[in-house]
Amino acid sequence: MIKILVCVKEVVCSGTQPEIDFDNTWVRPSGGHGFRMNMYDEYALEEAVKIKEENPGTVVDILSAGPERAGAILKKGLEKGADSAFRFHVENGGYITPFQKASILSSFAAPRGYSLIFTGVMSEDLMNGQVGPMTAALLNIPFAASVVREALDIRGACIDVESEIEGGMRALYRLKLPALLAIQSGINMPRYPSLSNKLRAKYQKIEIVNDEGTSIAAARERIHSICYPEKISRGIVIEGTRSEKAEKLLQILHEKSFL
Amino acid sequence: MIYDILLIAETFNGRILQSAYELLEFGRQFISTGFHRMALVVPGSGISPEAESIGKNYGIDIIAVENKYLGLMNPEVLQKAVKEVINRFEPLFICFIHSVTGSAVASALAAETGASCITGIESFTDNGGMLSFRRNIFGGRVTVEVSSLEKRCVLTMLPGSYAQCEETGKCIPDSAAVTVIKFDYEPSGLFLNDIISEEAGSFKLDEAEVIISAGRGIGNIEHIGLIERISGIFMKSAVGASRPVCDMGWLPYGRQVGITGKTVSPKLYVACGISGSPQHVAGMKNSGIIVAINTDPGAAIVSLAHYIIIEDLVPFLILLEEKYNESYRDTSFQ
Ligand SMILES: Cc1cc2nc3c(=O)[nH]c(=O)nc-3n(C[C@H](O)[C@H](O)[C@H](O)COP(=O)(O)OP(=O)(O)OC[C@H]3O[C@@H](n4cnc5c(N)ncnc54)[C@H](O)[C@@H]3O)c2cc1C
Repeated sequence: MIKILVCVKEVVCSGTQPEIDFDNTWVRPSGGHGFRMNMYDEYALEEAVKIKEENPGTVVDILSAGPERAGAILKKGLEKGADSAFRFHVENGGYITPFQKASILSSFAAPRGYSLIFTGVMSEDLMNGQVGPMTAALLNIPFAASVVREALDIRGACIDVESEIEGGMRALYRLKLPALLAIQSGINMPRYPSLSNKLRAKYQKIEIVNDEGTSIAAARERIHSICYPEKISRGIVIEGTRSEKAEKLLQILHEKSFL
Repeated sequence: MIYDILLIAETFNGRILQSAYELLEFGRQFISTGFHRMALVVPGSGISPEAESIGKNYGIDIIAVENKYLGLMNPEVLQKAVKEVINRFEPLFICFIHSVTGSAVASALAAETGASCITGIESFTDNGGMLSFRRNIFGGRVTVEVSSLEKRCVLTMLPGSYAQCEETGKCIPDSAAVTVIKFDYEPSGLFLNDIISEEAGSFKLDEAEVIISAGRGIGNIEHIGLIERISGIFMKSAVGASRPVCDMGWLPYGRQVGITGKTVSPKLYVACGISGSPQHVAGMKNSGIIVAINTDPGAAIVSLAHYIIIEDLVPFLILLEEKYNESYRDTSFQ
């Protein structure tokens, strides 16, 4: 039997400007827009569930380090086919660094004997891309980043993957198990929850894995200022009615000899 | 020997990648904040001669690390190789390029060696001895300055953040010493079998003079036709895309612009419903004229574009096509 751990995190639903909390040098968890699972983690979860379908007996656990609110994405994970959900409680809204997160994930995973650990290639909000490789390093297991295809060989205790690298090229790796894959978008089409999984998830508990006051590793970096990027430096905003804007744009492109 | 700063070049099949020259420019500016010794680390296979000539031409110390598995940049071997270099030269800062391999190896290395880690930096600031690194988060909507709390710090620099260092001979005021390390290491858990190329579409994105690019903001696959028609207005034009558009199968991956797609610099780039995330921008920021069509005046692409149109994309483009047909069609080259 193989055990897979999928690490997920919540992100603010995109589309609007995050609100900066200048006192705490972090962004405010904005109430109105809600939270959802990081897109790359959705792909990671789907890939794990696909492996489970192809290899009956496989167990898929899902873990998030986050505030109570993050229970919602863990429920979603159960609905989409994870077997059990775990949450490492982190105080509401606060920022923790990728290294702190990797320390939490690796100490959770270490005693539990996972053959595979999946993370998203990065989070949509922080865009660090550090948590996966750091978790692998702390567990001293091989990793591959930006994975767009995988083929598991349980007998051979290895997994073949394609990782997307720059300029449309792909690296073909073989990793010995246990291994960590940081999953890139496009590897699959994440499913909608099935009705039976929805019902099952409804009654399933999310296990809290840390006791109150459990300390986490010290941060190794500090965000010491946060701001909105300087606004429009060189651009010209084309004004007017929709139709005037279209005319003006065509005129500019004509003057520049594109038309 | 001790170095304050180590820049880690990437190589491929015995060739040093262009991004190394951006690292050199970053290093040239960074060293002036009060550091003394800097070296360019060149990991690869059969790489030493080219590495030495860079050292001569740019006046920078070179540490060439030779290992046959570094020919294609096996990440496990790269991580161990750089760790070995760190042990020998005790740098305070180690800077990789923010590529897929570079950022992953940097992160793992930092975790393994107790260093801090700041990825995807675009610039640095020296606040009277306190160094901080600027990076963009939330798809470019928020900027943070991050500083290290550890003695040693691993960085990755977003490609395109610094111009390529010019070959002046004294670009970096340092005598050029060359160290060649024959690094004996066999990968134990990660084996790199091959590097393959995703077949691009039939047209050549990198040769087009005009690129009309579709982002997630186009809403659904049915609007691709509209983007193609707008592209058809121009000579030597092509349709490009942001990554999500390719992920959803609306356009093939061969059309993706950005860090993991194509790097383009057409005369005209029209970003339709593209937010301007750093990964996308890295692939198109050197375009001649950038036009952004977006509903959100706060989108990152807006601060990069030369012409900005705040509009709902689809009705705007339909109108643009109509106006073009009315007034320009006959006078144009087509
Ligand atoms: C390792 C890695 C590599 C990556 N490589 C690349 C890469 O090479 N290329 C790439 O593009 N991305 C890449 N990405 C993804 C990147 O981070 C972003 O997720 C992506 O670029 C966002 O695409 P987008 O701008 O189309 O979508 P979004 O960020 O969702 O933006 C959509 C935009 O459309 C606007 N919009 C919405 N509706 C309308 C409307 N009706 N009219 C007008 N505008 C509208 C919105 O305001 C928004 O600005 C990579 C990510 C990772 C982790």
